[in-house]
Amino acid sequence: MENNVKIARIQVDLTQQQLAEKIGVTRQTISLIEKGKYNPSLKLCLEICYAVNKSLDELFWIDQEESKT
Amino acid sequence: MKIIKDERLQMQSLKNIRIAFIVQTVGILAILLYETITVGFTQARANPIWIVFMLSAVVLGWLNLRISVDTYENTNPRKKPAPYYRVIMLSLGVGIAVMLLAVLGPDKSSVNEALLVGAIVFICFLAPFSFVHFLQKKRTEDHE
Repeated sequence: MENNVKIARIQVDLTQQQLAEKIGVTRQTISLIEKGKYNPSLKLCLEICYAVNKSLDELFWIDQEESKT
Repeated sequence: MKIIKDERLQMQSLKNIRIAFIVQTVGILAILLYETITVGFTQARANPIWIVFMLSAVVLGWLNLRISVDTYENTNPRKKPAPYYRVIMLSLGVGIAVMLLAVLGPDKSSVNEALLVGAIVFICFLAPFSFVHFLQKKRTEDHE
């Protein structure tokens, strides 16, 4: 599923490894989330949001039409 | 060994355990089947591996009761569970029926043996039915 995690992470100047360490997951998981290949739990989504100072909407929201395509 | 905190890896590890469980169960069944063919069913049942197999089947059955209650609720219109005394009556009925069968049936068991068998059957019925009853009751209360 598409998301804005990568953009938000670069904005706060964090590497995948640093973000992963901050929220207690592996770098591979962050990589898979950014590529949209792993569907994180709501808890993990929130952890990412707190780490990059963004809201859930800003990082993960996609319009219904877009998600169907 | 480090404790896995990553949810993705935890999920992956659970999937791996599932595969290992399948392999193990197939192995146990193969051993039991081999024993049944070579030395007969009674001997195969004496093997402790049979107890392991039955125990894991019982545990799986118990754990799956929760899933059954939830799927049952979704496929059938929601209604209040029957009163608890019906569960007791049903279990008692089956227990007494089995007890009578033990005394009057071809086994011609003594009264003590029949009482024991009846009591075991009663408990075996009462336990899972009570569990499901209270689970359904809790679900109905949660819904209200």
